[in-house]
Amino acid sequence: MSKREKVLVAMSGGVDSSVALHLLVEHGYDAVGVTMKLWNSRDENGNLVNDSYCCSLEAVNNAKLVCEAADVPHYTLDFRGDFREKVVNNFTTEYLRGRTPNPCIRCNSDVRWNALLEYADDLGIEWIATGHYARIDISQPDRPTIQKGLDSHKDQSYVLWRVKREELSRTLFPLGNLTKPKVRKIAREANLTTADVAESQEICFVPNDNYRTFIESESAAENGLNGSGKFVTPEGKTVAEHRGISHYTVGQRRGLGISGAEPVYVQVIEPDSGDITVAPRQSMFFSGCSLKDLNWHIDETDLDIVNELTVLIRYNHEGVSCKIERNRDGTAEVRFDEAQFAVAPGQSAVFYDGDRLLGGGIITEGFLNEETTIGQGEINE
Amino acid sequence: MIYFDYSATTPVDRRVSELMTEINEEVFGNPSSVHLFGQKARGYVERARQQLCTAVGCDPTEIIFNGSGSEANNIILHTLLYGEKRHVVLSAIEHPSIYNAVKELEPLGISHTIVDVDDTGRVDPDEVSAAIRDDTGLVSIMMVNNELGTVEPMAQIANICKEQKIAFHSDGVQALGKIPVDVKNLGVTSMSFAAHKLYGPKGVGVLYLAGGEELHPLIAGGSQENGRRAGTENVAGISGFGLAAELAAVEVHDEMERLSHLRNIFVSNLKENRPEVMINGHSSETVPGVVSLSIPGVSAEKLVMKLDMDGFALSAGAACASGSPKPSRVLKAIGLSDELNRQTIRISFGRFTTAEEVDSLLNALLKHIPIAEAETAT
Repeated sequence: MSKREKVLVAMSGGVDSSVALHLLVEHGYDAVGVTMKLWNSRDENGNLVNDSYCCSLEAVNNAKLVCEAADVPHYTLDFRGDFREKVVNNFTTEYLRGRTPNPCIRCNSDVRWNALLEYADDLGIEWIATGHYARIDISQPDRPTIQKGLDSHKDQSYVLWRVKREELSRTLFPLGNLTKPKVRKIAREANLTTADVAESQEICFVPNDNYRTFIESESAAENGLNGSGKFVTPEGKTVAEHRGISHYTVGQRRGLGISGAEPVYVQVIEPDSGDITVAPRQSMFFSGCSLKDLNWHIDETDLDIVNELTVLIRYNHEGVSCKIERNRDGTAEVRFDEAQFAVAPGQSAVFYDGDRLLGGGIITEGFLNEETTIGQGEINE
Repeated sequence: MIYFDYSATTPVDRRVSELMTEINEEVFGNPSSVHLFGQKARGYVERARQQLCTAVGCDPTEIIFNGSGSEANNIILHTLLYGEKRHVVLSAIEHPSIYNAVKELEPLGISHTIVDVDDTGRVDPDEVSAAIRDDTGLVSIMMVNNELGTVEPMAQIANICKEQKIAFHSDGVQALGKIPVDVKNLGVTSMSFAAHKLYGPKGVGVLYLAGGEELHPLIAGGSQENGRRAGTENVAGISGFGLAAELAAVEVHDEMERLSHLRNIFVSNLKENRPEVMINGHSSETVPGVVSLSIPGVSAEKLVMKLDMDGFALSAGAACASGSPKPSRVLKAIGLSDELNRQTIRISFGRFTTAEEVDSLLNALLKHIPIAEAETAT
């Protein structure tokens, strides 16, 4: 009998990772489940700080139950220190600087992949796996590529751009070819405890999905960086006071407390002066943006011969054709073929060629469209 | 899979489980009932009480059956709430069911003083003496530490408490079955025990209370256990504890000799092959089956996982501390750095451990502990 290949499966206690494990075991892998404890679901006094299922005792126990039923070992790994340092602190700092971070992306690249590979190496395990809806092609191990998940509603390739390409060569995504309903069906048929665990959409460490309160409590110690300031028009006229830049995101319309003939949106946040420019919808379109922290899953020399370069400027964005100009210092400028509504600094711009994920970067600045065009793609509020 | 975590819990001895099965199938009566069913059940409970008395050297009224060693510890601490003297002295290495229970009582007006231990995990009786105040109502020092195996200077502490007329409680959970325990010789006023540490069932504890005094029950209700612990008796569990205690008392001396021998061979072979490995605890004042090992440069968490996947079950630090990142409080108390703390595993042998098993564990450990780079001679 040939030796079975080993895989370390990241188990969140949700249905997706449970089915990922189940499928790997069915396919003859020798699996080991791990749940990363990233955040305290209770404070020092034992009170629940979070209504999130993620990292709760229930989630860990459910992961254990799924593993136990599959006769697979399960371990809980503590990464609270790393997560706090690399993800949560960054999240707060970014908001206080008027930017809109995506902590899930950072968690994948700066915490989860490192951690999983470290443990896999130490335990003599070849593969790592997660329950992401994305497809991965590792037929050329030195040049792995990610494709969008088959289920276009669930595709999660967007949150994977920052993972280093070389870290992908040992990664498996068992759900890439499945739809969410199919995953639920598999879970129910296999009688997995987690078959009906509700979908989590909120940010796992933010209580009650209220990031503003979270930032306030996190920054309370941080000397009033979050002070209030002025709402101004593009012409520089003050229209109202605001509650502090971390309360606002580019593209936001609700909760501004500004009345007027036509609705206005947050157009630009100026962290240094504390000014927030608000503008009517027709002035909310951007012709492009600048990027930093680029990471590619494609040889950079091949970027120039990509058929149709498309960029997604936020999760669930439908994408827009674009051109990219890379600078020597590792930054880049992107020009959209069609102006886009609300480009928020701090978000990720993620590039595709068709379904293939090419890479991405963090948006540092949006370029306001000079002509007022009605473009596509408004944020759903 | 080979088990080396007898300090966490033990498998139920077959003789015990057979008795318990028989009781579960045939003796369902409530021991408080007047009729024959009740009488039968009462017989089993009282027989177990006598077995416990013989095992630890006390009278039947001095035994209070309850739900766990933790409960027994909590019962005693809880009594402080009803007394004049509301200060307790404890060691830095007490089990969480003392250590954390004391903290829970703090807002209710129970103050405490924590006495440090030396680098072997032993309390200095003089420090206990110094920590005692006018309002001290209890000294609580465990007999055997769960992470180290170190045995505390019970006689000296008992003398101090006796002189000062202060109650002396000892958590004896890790002692009973491993070394002889005679409550009268030890001079304790109360002591807690748990069946599952000596090849009995989980969920059964005993509080020995000298003189069989009344106390304010932690769980109030019916008059079970002389009104000191309400709740219908766990007849099968209690009987299992009784038999387990009897068997342990009979076998303890031979077992001590056998396990000491196994431990010595294991430790000397390990030290010979990996001299950098450090053994924590006391060299002589220790229970025979426990080895606390610090292995510089080796993550205990990962080592425990690797050994688990290789078929060997043991713990990083203490079982209760697993899955939590915090360095063990006990290992900190004996002066281990946080780094070394995370490089410490606990191996514990028991009744079913064989020389061959210990040998295979040694080989598995050597496989995972890299040979330290020798100093290059020029």
